[in-house]
Amino acid sequence: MGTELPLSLGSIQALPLVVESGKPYPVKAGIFFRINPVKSSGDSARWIRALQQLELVVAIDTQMSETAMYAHYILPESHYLERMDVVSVTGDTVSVRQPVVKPMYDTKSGYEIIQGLAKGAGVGEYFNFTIEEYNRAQLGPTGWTLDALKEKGVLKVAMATPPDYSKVATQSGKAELVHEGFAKSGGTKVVGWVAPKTQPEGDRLRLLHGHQAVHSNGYTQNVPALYARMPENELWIHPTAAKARSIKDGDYVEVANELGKERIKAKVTEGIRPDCVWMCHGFGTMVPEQHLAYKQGANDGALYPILITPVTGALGQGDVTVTVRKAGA
Amino acid sequence: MTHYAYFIDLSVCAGCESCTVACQNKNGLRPELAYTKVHRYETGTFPDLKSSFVVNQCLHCDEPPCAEVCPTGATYKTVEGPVLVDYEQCIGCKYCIVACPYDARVFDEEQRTARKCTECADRLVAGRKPACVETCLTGARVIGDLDDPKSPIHEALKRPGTVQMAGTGFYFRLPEGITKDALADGGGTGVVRAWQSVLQPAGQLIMGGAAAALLASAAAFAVKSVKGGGTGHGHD
Amino acid sequence: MATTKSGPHIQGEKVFRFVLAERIAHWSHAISFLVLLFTGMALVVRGAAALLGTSVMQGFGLTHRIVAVVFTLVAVPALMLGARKSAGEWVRGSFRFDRDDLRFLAGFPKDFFGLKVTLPDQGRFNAGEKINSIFQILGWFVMVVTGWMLVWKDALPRGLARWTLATHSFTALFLGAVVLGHIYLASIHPHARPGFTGMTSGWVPAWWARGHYRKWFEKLPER
Repeated sequence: MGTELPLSLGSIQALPLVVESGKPYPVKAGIFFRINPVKSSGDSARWIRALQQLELVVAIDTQMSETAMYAHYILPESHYLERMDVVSVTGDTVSVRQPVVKPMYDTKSGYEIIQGLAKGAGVGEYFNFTIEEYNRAQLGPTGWTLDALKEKGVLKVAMATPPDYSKVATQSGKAELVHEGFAKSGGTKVVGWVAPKTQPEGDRLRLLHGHQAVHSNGYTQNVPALYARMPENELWIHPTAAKARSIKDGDYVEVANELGKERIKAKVTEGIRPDCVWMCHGFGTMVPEQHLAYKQGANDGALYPILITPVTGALGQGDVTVTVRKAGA
Repeated sequence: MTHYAYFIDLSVCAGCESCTVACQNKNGLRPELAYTKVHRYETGTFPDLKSSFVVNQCLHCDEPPCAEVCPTGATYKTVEGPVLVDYEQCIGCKYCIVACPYDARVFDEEQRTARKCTECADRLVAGRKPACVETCLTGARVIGDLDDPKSPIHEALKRPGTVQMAGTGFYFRLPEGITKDALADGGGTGVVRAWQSVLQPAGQLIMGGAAAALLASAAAFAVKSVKGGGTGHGHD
Repeated sequence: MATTKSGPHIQGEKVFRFVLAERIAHWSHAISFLVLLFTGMALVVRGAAALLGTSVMQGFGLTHRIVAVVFTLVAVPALMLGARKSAGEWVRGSFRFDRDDLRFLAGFPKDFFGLKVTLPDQGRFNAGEKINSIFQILGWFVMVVTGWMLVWKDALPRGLARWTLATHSFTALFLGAVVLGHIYLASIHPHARPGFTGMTSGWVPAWWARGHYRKWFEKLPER
């Protein structure tokens, strides 16, 4: 699945498919800016093979990551507390990220890195301003000033066109469950059920994942204060499924399928369907420099196939099953 | 008079543990030591499951068992409410850690004293909120002076499902379907109270009794020898 | 009864009552107990901390743990190595009370306060000493077990730790009462204090041994 949905090939989750096939055209280089697909997309092993095929891999990140490990060049970015970013707007809230400390190490902000690369690529004239100047220019017509925003950090503003929640932003003004676009995107005109490719049959269990509020995605696992709160993830498994596999609460288990094998601590709980298991995303760090998080917990991303789903082109991470057995059994 | 009450709305607690980290930051605690902790509570069987995040921390008891067992008086209850530790007086015996029914005290190996939540008494005095209350992302934590009619604590305590932790100024709002079973029961203090109020005084009384008996005996023999009767009891 | 060449025997006007190992075990136990009691009581007596100050209290705590090692490790090996048979008889005998022992106990309070009473013949240890021995043996065991548990009190389950604290605390004070009685009898009470030298040189006056421990005295060899 993928080449049937050509527009989906531009999304990050499909990149290994493009690199492998050379379709729609060969990709030879990649710049990975604040993203870590080896951990956070699907099929980590396939991602690593794809990166190794590229002639040039550049990673821009605030810490060494699973993706940065395969980069030819790493351009270390300043931590969010060390840099100014572009002004952010959400509904009636305007905010700016501004530096509160000087960079501790030899790092640059994301914008400065882009600016430097542009200069090197001969298009520096289009980036001949600072981020402050950019933000001032953005805010100029609004009457709100960057200085006011820097002082308050966050501004609640009066919106030029306040949202009208009585109407949905579609042609009919209503939520549309019938749409030509769905059919064009690989689905059906009427939203319908598409059976998953996998089923939890035999000794297989469906692998689900999600997040827990202590950590943010896959990049805070090495923060000492948060590591102390949650050093590893746990595999939520129903008592029936656990008993059938002689697994007790706290046992370490092997979660495996055709794509990989991960080791994780079991949490026996009633809070999961008997035919499913669940783990929190972001663990199983493969980066030795992340001294605390290294090899703690399991990486769910290692077990998902690169399955591009119809209509949205999203990664079908829920369509995967695994075997679970006690580690060392 | 200032008289603090502390309220935590568990129905909106997200389990993010920002309170734990903010508190550690404010008090200079190493990541391994936490004054407030959050865990997930579950009850029922699939699919009729109820769960909630539950906070466990010092409840600044009205009659704190920790203060009762402290040999030096280093731990004490203030009039406003917070139970504090005077590090200068703490000898690191750890009686308080054992006595606390909520497991809320920690021992700092580097400092060699017991440490605990102070309800950010220093910030309260300065008109600010405790670090945990200020940080709470969902607004689940509220602290206020019950003697101040304008305090938001009054409205918070009226929310349905709110229960008071017996013997403390702490209130938890329980999510629907969750009972008090989710909360710490504060039990186990019977032994502690018995040890302090009964056993220790009894032991001292027995020692005193023994001392009195031997003084009486010595006096009896002194009287006997003064009377010239001799102290012997005859030997063959 | 231990009647080895080096054991108890009569020599002229004196009786050899305690061998060196028994005396070493006694004094090691006694002195370490008193230090432990004194340092431990500072935690219990209200006002002691204020009087002594934090540094002294901490010093007491350290002393308590160091002396606890002596209290735990010296007496039993000393008895096992130097007076095994005698100590074994002492322990077993302490828990056996015959009719003479019970009548002794009934009459002892009068004797304690200097009132006239005839006490029945006793063995090597009188019934009162047996009671003390029981308290010392069981008490030592309780204090050693609870004491070492308390070194790791915050690692124990809370309920267990609380019970251990209460037990250690009460038993200490109870044993304190017992030791007050023992010291008084051993060094001041006119009927008992002649036996004091038994624990220093090992020898006691023969007349006293005959009068107080007749059943034992009559079986002693003469040298």
